[in-house]
Amino acid sequence: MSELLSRRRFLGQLGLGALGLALGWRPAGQQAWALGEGVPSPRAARRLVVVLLRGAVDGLSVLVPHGEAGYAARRPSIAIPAPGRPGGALPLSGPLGLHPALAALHRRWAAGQAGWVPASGSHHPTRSHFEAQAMLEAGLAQGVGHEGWLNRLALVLGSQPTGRAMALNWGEAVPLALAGPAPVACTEARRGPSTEGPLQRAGAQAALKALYAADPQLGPVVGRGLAERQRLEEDAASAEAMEADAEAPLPEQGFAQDAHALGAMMRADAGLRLAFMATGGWDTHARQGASTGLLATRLHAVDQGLEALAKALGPVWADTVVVVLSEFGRTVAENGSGGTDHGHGTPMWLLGGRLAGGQLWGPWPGLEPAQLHEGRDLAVAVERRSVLASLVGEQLELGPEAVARVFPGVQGGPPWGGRWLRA
Amino acid sequence: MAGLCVLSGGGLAGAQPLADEAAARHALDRLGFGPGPEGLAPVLAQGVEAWIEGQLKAPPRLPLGGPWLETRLRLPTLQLSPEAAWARYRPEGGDREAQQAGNRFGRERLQEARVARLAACVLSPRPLEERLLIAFNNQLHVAGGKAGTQVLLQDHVEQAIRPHLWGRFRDMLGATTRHPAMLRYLDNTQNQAPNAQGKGLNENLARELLELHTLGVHGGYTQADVEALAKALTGWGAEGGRFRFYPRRHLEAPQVLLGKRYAQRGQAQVEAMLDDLALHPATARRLALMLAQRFVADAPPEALVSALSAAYLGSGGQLVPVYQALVRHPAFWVAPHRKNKLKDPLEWVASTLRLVGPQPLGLLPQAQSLGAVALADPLASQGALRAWRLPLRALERLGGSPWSHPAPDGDPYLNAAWLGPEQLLRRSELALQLAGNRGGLDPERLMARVGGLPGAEAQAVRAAPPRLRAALVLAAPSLQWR
Repeated sequence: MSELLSRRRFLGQLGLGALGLALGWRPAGQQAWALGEGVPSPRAARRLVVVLLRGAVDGLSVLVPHGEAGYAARRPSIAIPAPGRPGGALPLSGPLGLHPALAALHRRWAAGQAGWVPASGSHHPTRSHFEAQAMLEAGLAQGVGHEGWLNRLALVLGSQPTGRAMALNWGEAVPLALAGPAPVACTEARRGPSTEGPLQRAGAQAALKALYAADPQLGPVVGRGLAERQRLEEDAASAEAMEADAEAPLPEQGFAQDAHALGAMMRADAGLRLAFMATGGWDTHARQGASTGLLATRLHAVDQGLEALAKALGPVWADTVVVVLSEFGRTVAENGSGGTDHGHGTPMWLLGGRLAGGQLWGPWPGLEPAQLHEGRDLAVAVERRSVLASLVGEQLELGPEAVARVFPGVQGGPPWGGRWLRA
Repeated sequence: MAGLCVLSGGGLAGAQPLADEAAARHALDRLGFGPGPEGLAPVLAQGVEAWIEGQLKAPPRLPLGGPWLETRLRLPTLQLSPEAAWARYRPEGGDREAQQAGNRFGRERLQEARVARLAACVLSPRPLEERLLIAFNNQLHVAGGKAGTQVLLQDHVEQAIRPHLWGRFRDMLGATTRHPAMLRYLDNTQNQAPNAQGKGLNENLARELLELHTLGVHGGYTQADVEALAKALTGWGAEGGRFRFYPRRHLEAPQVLLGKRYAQRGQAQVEAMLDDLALHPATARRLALMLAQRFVADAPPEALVSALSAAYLGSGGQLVPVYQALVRHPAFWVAPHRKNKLKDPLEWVASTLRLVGPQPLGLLPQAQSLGAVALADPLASQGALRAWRLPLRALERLGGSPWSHPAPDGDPYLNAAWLGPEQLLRRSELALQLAGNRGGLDPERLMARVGGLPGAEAQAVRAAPPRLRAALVLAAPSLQWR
């Protein structure tokens, strides 16, 4: 009984006052939602969730090259031991293992629902977080504009600029990845009790709408905001109704809680096809730790979060693929502060209910000095955009022209054959 | 002195003087945080040009900035010197309980520092200085989340940034590079000469110094330059709340930075490098662009940016000539550059509080008029802090709490970052909360203070239920722009 109550309170904390819509574009006027938008097609709608680890997570601590001869020598205080040793990596394939904090993910690997592209990224040489994140989010062959690939994807999926949002951003400000003409829903669970917001006062919303009606730029933005808040409130209510029957304990604060809430929202609303979450704190220049410590704690939170997301999606998990990205990797050798500096190649993590997982995709370049990028970093063996283009095309059932609109200039798919999903 | 406010309309040809009221409104919005309870009158009384010149003058002997406000608002933890604050934050030989008390102290001081920042924007009779402070503090951003920075953020602003706003950027750069908050935030306290195994260097500060503080990511530096600067910065560290140079950690060797050889010993090496970085054309351009974007338009005319850059370099890196060039440039006054910048959260909260005035909000209950140099009586600190909590919490939810942006690139200041429904709806919520339960806010008086709202907005306000009208003025679309 008490679990049920705390669940209700939790979903109340989904911030019924904190839901909304973001537009980077000003539509000519309000239009009634077209019939059929947001109504799920007879075949279940496929979903894509992108999780961005901002700050360049240390890929060599995620996919641990314990079998490489020079690994431990170059990381005296932060290397993860080989599988079987105390604090050792969880075995994957060949010389690579998984950080021990990622236990739930390892179970998904064993079940064939998770896998990695071990050495991916952009061939662009920048080691600036901001530039590299911008390029990752823009998804262009070069340069950065004012829109992101997830927004282009929403457009291609059929989202009209005046239609309902198909993409959900978990956070307050809209990131570049979602910037663009397609509408994006924004939501973020509030920490702490959510009381009735001031906009719930009688007449407040109508008065606000009238006040903003005359402003050509801000008027439509506010109008859509109020409408989308309404929709997401309804989603949260349905999510609550479904949750009321579940028995699982709720995750704790932070990323796991957000991921759980995101999964519940997507399960409740078939119209939410794309979602984006970001977490920070990955820029471990000092005192990174190894099997335990700063990085391990954060990885554990991500592990819990991805697991919570998968569970919360329920039956929708079979139609979902999750991609975890970071803007680049970190140096092979540790620095003078027990940490690592900015690097180059890094793994892409993939999960999904029907992913043909349990394998590593693409080459592992190795850590011999001749194999490294600029003599210091893991090389990029597979360009990130080519992987994403191929994955997005298959998961979301898009043809080559549609994919080319999302990732312009991608030349063919990744070099390995086979499909991403099980039949 | 050439007239400042000489333009209206979109072009230079056939320019007419800007009506006084329009000029006053623009000056207050752009160089200040908008009108207060006295409306446009104080500016009109002395004339717009005189008001601007007053804002641009170096501070008078009686400091009207940080320390004045801190005293007036009686923020207890901010009265401590950095060394004393550090001793409270990290007590010597403390047990677990003492450590937790220290952390609590750190959080309190950070909160008070945030109150002081917001209060300065709302109450200061020299708002241009606060705006410039925000601009440069953002360029040289230190975040509050990292251990060892919390207790020193206010000090960083007051000692490293504020004193140099009216001087040379080179001096500001030197002060911030030496500041314990910056050295800890960007891990330079760990940066030391490589040992026998080749370990020791930490590039973080060197990289951000080139990428964010001076040249910019396309400023023409390479990885080798980052390493050279990092080597020169070895030994630049902190002890408690003070800078300390550790000669034994410093790598004594000539370094080549941007093609020039620096053979100085000790701290002089970095000082010489900063001399050249501060006056590098890429730095000049970056500063010019930042100021043009903050004070004129997101996409400022090239002529303006060049003019500001030239003023900077031509004066040997002085900042006041740049400010003068900015307010005298026609681009500052043309119609497309007025009311074209969407207020960021701090600007919007500050201008809203300023418009209402401190009295109705209980922010400074015994204050006299703040337009004059009258000193307010000290008041009970607890009451004052409580009143600031609501706007501060709202600022957090709007994503604009000072020092909350975790990355060194600082808070965004272009329109696109804040033009979103969620941002606007949350601002409206704060407007409702501020106006809601207070009887004393008269919507007509509020509108008069800003020189009136556009017709359609005023109509919407008057058509709304009476108890909502004041809130609607505060939330008005035209007040989202400056």
